[in-house]
Amino acid sequence: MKKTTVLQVCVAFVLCSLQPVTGSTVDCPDEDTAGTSCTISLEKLLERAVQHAELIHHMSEESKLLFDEMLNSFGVVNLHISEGTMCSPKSVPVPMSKTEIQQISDKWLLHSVLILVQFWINPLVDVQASLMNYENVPSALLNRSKLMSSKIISLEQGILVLIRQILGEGGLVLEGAEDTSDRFVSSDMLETVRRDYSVIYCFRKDAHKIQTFLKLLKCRQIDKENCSFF
Amino acid sequence: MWRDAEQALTLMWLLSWISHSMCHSSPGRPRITRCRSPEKETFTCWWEPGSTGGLPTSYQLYYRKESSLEVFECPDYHKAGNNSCYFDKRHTSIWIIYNITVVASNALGKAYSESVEVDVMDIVQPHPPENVNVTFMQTTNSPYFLVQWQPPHDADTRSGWVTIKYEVRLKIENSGNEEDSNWESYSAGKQLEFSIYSPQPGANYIVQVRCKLDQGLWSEWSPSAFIQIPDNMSDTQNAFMIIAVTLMVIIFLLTAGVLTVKMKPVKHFFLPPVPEPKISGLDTQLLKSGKAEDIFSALITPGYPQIAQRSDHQVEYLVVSDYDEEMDFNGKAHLEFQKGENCLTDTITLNSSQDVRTTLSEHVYSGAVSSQLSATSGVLGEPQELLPLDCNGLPVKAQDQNTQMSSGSKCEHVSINPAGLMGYVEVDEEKRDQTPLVGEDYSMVTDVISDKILVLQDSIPKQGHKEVKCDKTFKAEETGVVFEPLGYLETLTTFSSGS
Repeated sequence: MKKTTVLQVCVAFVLCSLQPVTGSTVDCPDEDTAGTSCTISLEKLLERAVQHAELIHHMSEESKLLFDEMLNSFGVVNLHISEGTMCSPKSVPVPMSKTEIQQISDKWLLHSVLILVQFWINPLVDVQASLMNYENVPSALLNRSKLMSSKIISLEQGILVLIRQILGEGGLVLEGAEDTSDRFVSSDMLETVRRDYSVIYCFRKDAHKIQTFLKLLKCRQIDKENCSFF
Repeated sequence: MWRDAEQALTLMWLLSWISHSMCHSSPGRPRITRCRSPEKETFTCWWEPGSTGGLPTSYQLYYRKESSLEVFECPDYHKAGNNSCYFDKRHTSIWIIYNITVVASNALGKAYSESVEVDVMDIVQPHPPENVNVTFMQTTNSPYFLVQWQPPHDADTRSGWVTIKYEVRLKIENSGNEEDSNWESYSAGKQLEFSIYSPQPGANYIVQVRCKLDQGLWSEWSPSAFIQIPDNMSDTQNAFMIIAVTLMVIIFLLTAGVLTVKMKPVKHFFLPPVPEPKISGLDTQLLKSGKAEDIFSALITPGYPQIAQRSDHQVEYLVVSDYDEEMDFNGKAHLEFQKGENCLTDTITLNSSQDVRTTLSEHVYSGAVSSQLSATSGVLGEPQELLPLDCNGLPVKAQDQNTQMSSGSKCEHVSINPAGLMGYVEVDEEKRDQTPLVGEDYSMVTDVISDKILVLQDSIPKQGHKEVKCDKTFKAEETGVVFEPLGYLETLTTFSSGS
């Protein structure tokens, strides 16, 4: 009896100690982040992040078009988007061209992505709630805004996991994100519409940025030989 | 009149000269027509000049980036042709808005175009794919042709900076037809080749490819590639298939027709019907529901011997035969009739002339009856080797009718061989008296078939029935009663005294 239990304990010990040996996997923290299985390779993680970003960008493009159509049907012809708060550059300067991105490090890329993602979570949720109050809003627009707000939240979690994995840093909560997101409440219908439109319009750009950064990051991490970057 | 004409002419000449000299003015407003970026790293803008005002006019393009006020001038006016401005990689920033203005200026003044706001990510339109070629692949079962191409040389797909998607379209070239055939478009995803299956033999195809970067605009269609499909692709195969299918259809129709016409014989051939014993006149419905008298009243036909006449007698009809004799079995039916415990003699009417095949012996009262009827109609094999046995296994030879009649017996074993002939034989006491076969009067005997059977004058001997009684031993010398009914052979049910 004792022999078998000792043997079992030994086997269990050996198996458990083998886990960290398998390289480039992510240990599952308490909260379930990027998938149901506890060990996921970096490749898959990056791939999923890129897919999320591509989907979000695609949805944002379509949302803008749908919003334009809706405005046309309302009779609002030209909603001028001033370079207001939404589209202004964020607290951390973001690289602007391919050459700049080539010179930037992984750390910067990841941080930029995280800043962007964390900035947009709240406005998207607000817009989704506000869109419900419109009359004759196309259901496609509602669906897409729902999808965007849910996917960006899971993307944020994925980015945190990536930062932990690639950079080895702990959980990051960047300050300053709260300041710029002012809760905009106005009773004027036009102002509300203008704000919602600016959110969607500006988010489209940032979604494209996020997608591009993540694609480049994936290229650098996974495919170092073929990647012309860097 | 001439003077007027002269005046008019000079006036006109003056006016034209004046207007010619007065044509110089400040230039008209130029207009920016489009801006494009082929790979999201550089971009070009083109404009259209307004009126020149008659003087040499120069154009400048100024731009301002989104949040700064600093104004820059176009870095390269020549690379992209006339009236264009080319922004190279160093000067291109993505995700910010350029505010672009074109200024036309000449000696007399300047004209500003309308400002245009441009974001590079919105104006992406790649060059068309390169080196499009088509090859025809002839495989035996599914011929197809393969379209292959290369991405435009300036798009950076390797690093993931852009994701490129392709679209293929093709159409059949109808040089003779007036009507235009339509293009068929297929999305090819990110791959660099595409297969088109089942092309029309003998047709000329035109193939083009175009591409798109991320969410940008589609490129122009590439230059056409042509291919000619050979003619004789699978004619023989098609013909063979057609012939085979036609043959199968014909065969199917024939079998269906044969089946419908000859349903019954075919059905009998495959599923031979189970012979169902039946006595004509015996209604099975009555059996289920009726009483015994009803049933047997149905059995009684005018031709039958009248039971009623003999109701006061206990009548017994016996036919005795010996089965190990050879019999002449033309048109005979054998009926072996065996009784169980009760051993009431049952007589059975058989209308063997008509229903030889389907006669049934039925045991009316309780008791186990097994009947075996082998029906023959003209042909029988050997005589059945049925040696009638008594209960103890002793063969029965002959019987003393009288003694048997009077007693109900158990374990009767009656084997009946109706000759299939007609006539009705009854043996009763009276008759028995008339036929002193016991050994005294042989004058009526016309033939002896076996050592057990005597044929009397007025009947045709065929066979005999045997009735075995268990509790009596038999005297072998007694000959069997003869009956050969002429037309059929029957045994009647004997009613015991208590019937």
